[in-house]
Amino acid sequence: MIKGTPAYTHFGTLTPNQNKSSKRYLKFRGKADWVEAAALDKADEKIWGEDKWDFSGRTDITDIKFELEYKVDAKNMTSAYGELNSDFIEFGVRVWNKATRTRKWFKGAFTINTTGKLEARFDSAAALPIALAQFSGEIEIQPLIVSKTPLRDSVSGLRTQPGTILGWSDPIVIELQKNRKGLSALFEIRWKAFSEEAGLDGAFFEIDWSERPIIYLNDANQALKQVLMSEASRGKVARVRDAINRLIAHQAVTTGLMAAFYQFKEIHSNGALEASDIIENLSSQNESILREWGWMLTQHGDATRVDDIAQELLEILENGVDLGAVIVDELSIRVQREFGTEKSIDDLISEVSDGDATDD
Amino acid sequence: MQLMTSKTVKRIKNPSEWTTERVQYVLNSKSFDDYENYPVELIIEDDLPLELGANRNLVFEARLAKAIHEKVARLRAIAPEIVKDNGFWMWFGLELCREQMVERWCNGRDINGALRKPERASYFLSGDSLQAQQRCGVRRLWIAADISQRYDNTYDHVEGLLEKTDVFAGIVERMTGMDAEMAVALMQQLNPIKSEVIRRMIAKKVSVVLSTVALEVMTTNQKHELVKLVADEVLQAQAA
Repeated sequence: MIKGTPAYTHFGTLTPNQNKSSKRYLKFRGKADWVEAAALDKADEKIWGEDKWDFSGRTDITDIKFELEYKVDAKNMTSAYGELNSDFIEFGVRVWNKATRTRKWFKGAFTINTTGKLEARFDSAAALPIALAQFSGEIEIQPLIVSKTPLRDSVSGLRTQPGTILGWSDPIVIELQKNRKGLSALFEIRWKAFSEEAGLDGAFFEIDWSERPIIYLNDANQALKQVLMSEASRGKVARVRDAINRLIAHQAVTTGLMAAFYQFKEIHSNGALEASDIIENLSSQNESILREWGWMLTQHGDATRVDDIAQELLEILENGVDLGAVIVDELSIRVQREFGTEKSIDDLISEVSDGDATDD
Repeated sequence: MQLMTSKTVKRIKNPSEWTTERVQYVLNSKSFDDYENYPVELIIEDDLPLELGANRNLVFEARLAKAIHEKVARLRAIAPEIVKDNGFWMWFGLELCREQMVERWCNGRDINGALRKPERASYFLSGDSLQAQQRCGVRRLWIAADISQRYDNTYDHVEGLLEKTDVFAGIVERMTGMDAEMAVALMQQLNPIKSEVIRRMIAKKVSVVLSTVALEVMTTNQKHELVKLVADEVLQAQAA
């Protein structure tokens, strides 16, 4: 993700035009007509996050189209490059999809009005029809303003080459995973300001264990956000990010498993004697966490299918196996192994040892 | 933001005993039934050119890459989503190129017929990241063929792309390598360079330069010129 103002040139961030709400349309399988997002029912509203559109598991939707509008004060741009028009710069969206190894450019339109405001518009219907079957994983759509010709920045003295990114907005990510694994499969990750809600003092994340579980992270902590949003694959930030991720994963998975096991036990005590019956009666979030992580609760930790896991849990309940030994003793070790806690701790310690940290 | 992913691979307790279906289910949560809807007989009916046996011969790998690409293209015309499904590639490797996978990526078999490095099978067949795509024994061949096809509609660049493992990985595992023109431009500049260290420096520097450039709007010539410029700069700096 691109952040901040470019050091190499003068332009900056494109702001979504709030005055003109962006329009989004969906096409459902077997239907010819487009349906505007605003006309969808409540279940479909969950798709539209602030910066992520989540179509995970929505095999009923085949196509999407959307309009995006942005504005930016072009004052910095004109002071650096002089008056610019479409001969020199271009607005469009860059589309990346790793799973299909796609990276493409789709052109939009822009105008610079008399007050120096640049207004840009992208209509996917004209340029980028998205048939979901053609993609997989995450589609990243990043609005950009780029130079078409070499430009000289009179302020910085630098010369840009064709394609240089002069302005951008945060990308929109379209999530298409059908079979996500790990925490992302189970939890939607959202940011919110904890200061605006009672009872969240002293917390940096909150788990909403509802039908569609959500991990909320504290939006007010910008340093945390910067670290967790980092896509670095190595280095200090990556190690700290991974350590924080592990901490969240530990608690989220342990708590979720306890909730699932509690409901499992309750359904069993209410008369369900077959593993498959119990699984069928679990809430979706409890069934999901048992499917992905339930092996940690089993005696030997080697069951992989959810029905095998359920059968083992049933045997634990029916055979009077010592729950303390199985769950308390084993679970914490398995969670640590699963999330590589030891390595994470080593990494963090090495940060302190390698750096010039002093004990004050 | 992507939080932790499951380390499911580690839970295959005894990989030497794995069956294709079990690996598929454990790693991809899929059973073979998931593939029944695909007309996979389009591939199965024809033999892949495996007559040379499994080996690391470049010419053979390029031939296999072309054959895989051509056969998958027939399937892709009917089921376009197939090539982005890592389960499909695992199935392809385990079912159609099993011995190639064993010889090339699992150090072959011992005198008793057991795999020498069975744990490598799941490593070289699983995952969907750019790195995992590149290391997947069969998908990497398809990627090389696909880059060449997208570049100029031929398979002329497949051998070049597969010639040096570090060059191919350095291209394909980076976002820049998703662009076929940039991938070929990099390959053409990097292959003649003897030092792996310098090759890596150039690939890395091109990525750094492109972090502030939308290469999607560049022309083919501009991409080749940029890579050449960076390569010349690095080589001159090393010579000095």
